Amino acid sequence: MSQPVLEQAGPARTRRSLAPGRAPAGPGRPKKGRHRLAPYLFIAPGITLFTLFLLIPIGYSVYLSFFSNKVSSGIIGASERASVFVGFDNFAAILEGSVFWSGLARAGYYGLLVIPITLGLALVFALALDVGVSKLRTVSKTIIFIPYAVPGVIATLMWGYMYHERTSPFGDIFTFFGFPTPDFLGDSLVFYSIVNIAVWGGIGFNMIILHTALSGIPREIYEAARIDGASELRIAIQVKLPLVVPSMIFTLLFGVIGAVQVYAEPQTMKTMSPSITSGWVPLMEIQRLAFEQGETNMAAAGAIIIALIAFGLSLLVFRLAGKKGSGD
Amino acid sequence: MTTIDKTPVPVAAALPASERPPQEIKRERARAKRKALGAIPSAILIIGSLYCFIPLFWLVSASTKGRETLFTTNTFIPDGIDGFFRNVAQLGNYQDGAFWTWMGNSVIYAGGGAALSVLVSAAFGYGLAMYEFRGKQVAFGLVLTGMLLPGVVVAIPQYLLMAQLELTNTYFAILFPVMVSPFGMWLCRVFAASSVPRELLDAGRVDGASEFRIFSAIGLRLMAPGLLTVFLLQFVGIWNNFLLPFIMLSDNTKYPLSLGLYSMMRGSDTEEAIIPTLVISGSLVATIPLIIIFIWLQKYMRINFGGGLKG
Repeated sequence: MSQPVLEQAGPARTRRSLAPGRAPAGPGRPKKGRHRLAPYLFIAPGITLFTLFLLIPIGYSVYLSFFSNKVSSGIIGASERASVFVGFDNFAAILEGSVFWSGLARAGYYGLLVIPITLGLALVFALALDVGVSKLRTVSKTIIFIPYAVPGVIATLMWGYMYHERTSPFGDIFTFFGFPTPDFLGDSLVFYSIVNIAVWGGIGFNMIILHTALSGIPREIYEAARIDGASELRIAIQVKLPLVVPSMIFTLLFGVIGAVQVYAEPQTMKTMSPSITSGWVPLMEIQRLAFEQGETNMAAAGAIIIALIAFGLSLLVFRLAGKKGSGD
Repeated sequence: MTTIDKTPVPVAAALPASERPPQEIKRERARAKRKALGAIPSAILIIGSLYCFIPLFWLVSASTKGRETLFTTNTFIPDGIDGFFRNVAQLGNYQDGAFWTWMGNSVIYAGGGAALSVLVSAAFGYGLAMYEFRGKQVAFGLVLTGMLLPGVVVAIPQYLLMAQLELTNTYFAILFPVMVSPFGMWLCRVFAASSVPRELLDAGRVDGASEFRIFSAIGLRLMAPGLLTVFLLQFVGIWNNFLLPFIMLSDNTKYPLSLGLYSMMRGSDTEEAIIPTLVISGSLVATIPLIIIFIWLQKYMRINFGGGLKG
């Protein structure tokens, strides 16, 4: 505990301590010098890990995608494996096959369904929560949030058994009303069955984000509208909605990035439904190429394509956000 | 639909103005309408809760079923609690207690990984929010870019990197990569900027405290609620992560729960009669800890994104 005393000994220290108040206009220079290094020390661990486990792997990914492992027979007779620059060959190879394209199309359609449904429901629930405080609202907020805690693999297994004809609890209900039990895991429905799992798991997180944004809005804004006789519905649409747009942008962004790399649900569903083919979504194809086919370079090219798509869509979202932001 | 009267003014004006001021009438009408409409949000929330809750109730109910009743009785009607315990006992016997090993692994990965990543993120976010320094914008830009990066781009090279270091199939193969979380770093910056006043740091400096001491004594304390949110998000993210362990681990005893249950499911082609009951009850047991943590920590969850993009 002698440290403070030592620091006080410096002339700059003494002067600052004696100065009345904080006096930022006074000779503030010595303060700057003292902690010039501090911010770098604080961010150093994060930046180091970021570099090691994100930047370097990304760089390596890019490198891999432009090279190929060619086996060439050396002069002495022993074959050698060497990395050869192949330009865009890997990209061409993965885009030539129909599997990657159909996977991309499927992931795109998946996103077009999952994102609006999830965000729409999350918004409706958040607005309903925001009307006022009651026991019902507290309880339902918790219940709607809980599925977010269920891992994708487990949610898929759970729903999978609920879909499965042998264990489905819905069979009796359909039979009761005289309908045939739909084959939730069959060719035509399994896609929507997975969409449902994603929506179920995603609403809660987005609802919390939007509800947090809503509860940050000062109440007086609504009071004014209420006194003018505006209905709750009108307040929700005309006052609250524009105010949560920044948060909506974020949920949209996470939704897009999540949809592009959907993986755990279909991969798990594959164990229950023969309708899920290998390479059903892009990530399944990339994983298969890298770890089952040994086509690491092609897989890297596929991963780069996915990243570029994610970036492109993110920029689009930001663009949209910028336009919205300048509007008000 | 309830009709929404957009022009209440003429009606109010028709009444004798001397007895009831139009302001009051308007307010009264609005109040009455609000009462009538008050049921709608509640109805919406009840429907939403049912949608979210019914599958979980089914999971609880189905996990009480034995291998006979699972396929023959309606799975919405539970068998009785002893059925559940019978399943859990069988679950414990599966591959010499593999399930509980997976549970332990998940706790190590998610708990350890989340704690480490919160420390790293907190220091980073604090440094970025509290100081002006050269390279600040670059660091912030890096993190923003990292947030938008799909995990798959790094998954394959991360594996190759870990293989070079001979770390695949070890706990580090999971713990190292999850320590860096761009989203957590970004959130910490937002929390630091909004909850730690810079004047307080100056006060600490006047008192002669070192920058690190100010961080640990003032910064971390004020950021604590935000850090809890980051911890929770990271914990869930790691607990639920499937791709990373799927790629990194091939040794059954290092698996986390999600991968373990997946492998159980995959093996179910051969032992079809017994496994579904185990997978179902295993799914329930694997989910309970997270649900408890969630209900417990939910009130601290406040994720505000408004204006968080500015550096």
